[in-house]
Amino acid sequence: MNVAACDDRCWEAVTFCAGPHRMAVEAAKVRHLDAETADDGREIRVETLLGLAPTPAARLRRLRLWGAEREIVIAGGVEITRLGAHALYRLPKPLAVRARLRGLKALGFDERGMILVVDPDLWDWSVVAGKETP
Amino acid sequence: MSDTITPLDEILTADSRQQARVADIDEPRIKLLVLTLAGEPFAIRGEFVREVLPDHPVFFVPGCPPSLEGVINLRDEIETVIDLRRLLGLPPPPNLGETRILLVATAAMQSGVRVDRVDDVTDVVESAILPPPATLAAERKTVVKGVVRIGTQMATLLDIERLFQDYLDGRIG
Repeated sequence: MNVAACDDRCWEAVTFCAGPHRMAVEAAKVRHLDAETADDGREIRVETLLGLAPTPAARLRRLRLWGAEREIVIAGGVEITRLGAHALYRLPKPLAVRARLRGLKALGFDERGMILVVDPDLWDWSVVAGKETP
Repeated sequence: MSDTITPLDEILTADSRQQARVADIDEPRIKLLVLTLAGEPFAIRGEFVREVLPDHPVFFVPGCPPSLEGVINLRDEIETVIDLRRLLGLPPPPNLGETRILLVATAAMQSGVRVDRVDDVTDVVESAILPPPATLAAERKTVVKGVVRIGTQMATLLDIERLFQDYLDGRIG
């Protein structure tokens, strides 16, 4: 069934890349996007929160989320993206049961391909909270 | 003339052709989809195979078990693609381009399943399915229903329901 013609709902997201993978976080959860900074090797990258290996990057950006001590450090560009409701899909069962990508909530598709929709509320923020401990 | 005169009843009793046809008609038949993996013939009960799909781009999802290749967009439904070779512990195929994806559905789940080649769809009587050989590896026995002769080869009949349940339970894949 083509829902696009009868469904004008859409979802606004902040999209970024974690390595080669396009990710999206609900825009309503993002408070602020900081200017670029150099990578001093001490930042907890978003890949760590996702359970992936961080990719090397010269420049990073900090995405501040609503909620105490919540910020994502990402490499590369950040975009505001609007996806129609028809472009979002629940995770199929074999993926939902066995995926280990932390916070994976849904899949989105646009003209550039697939977007992994993640929910920061499902991440283990204790990793970031402990970053200042020597 | 050296013909042996035989009573009619005896001849008719010895004629097994009619009896064989009657046995075939009466005995339940099951549909099998015959496929090839790593050069070996396998079969899946046809009732679990919804479609044989044309080539589809597979979108990789990080952080998944090795057997889960990714997902495809099939007529606006997102389906996973599981590599059956990986699930059975077989080496990867030399050429992905020649493989096929079956859309397989059991009570537990539905998924695309990649196989090397789809060879045939055939009907067999249930009694033609023999128990798995005793020499079969232990880890394979749990997911094998039996063996069945297809043409000149013995095909391994996979228990796809058990395979899918083991995948969901994290025992394989």
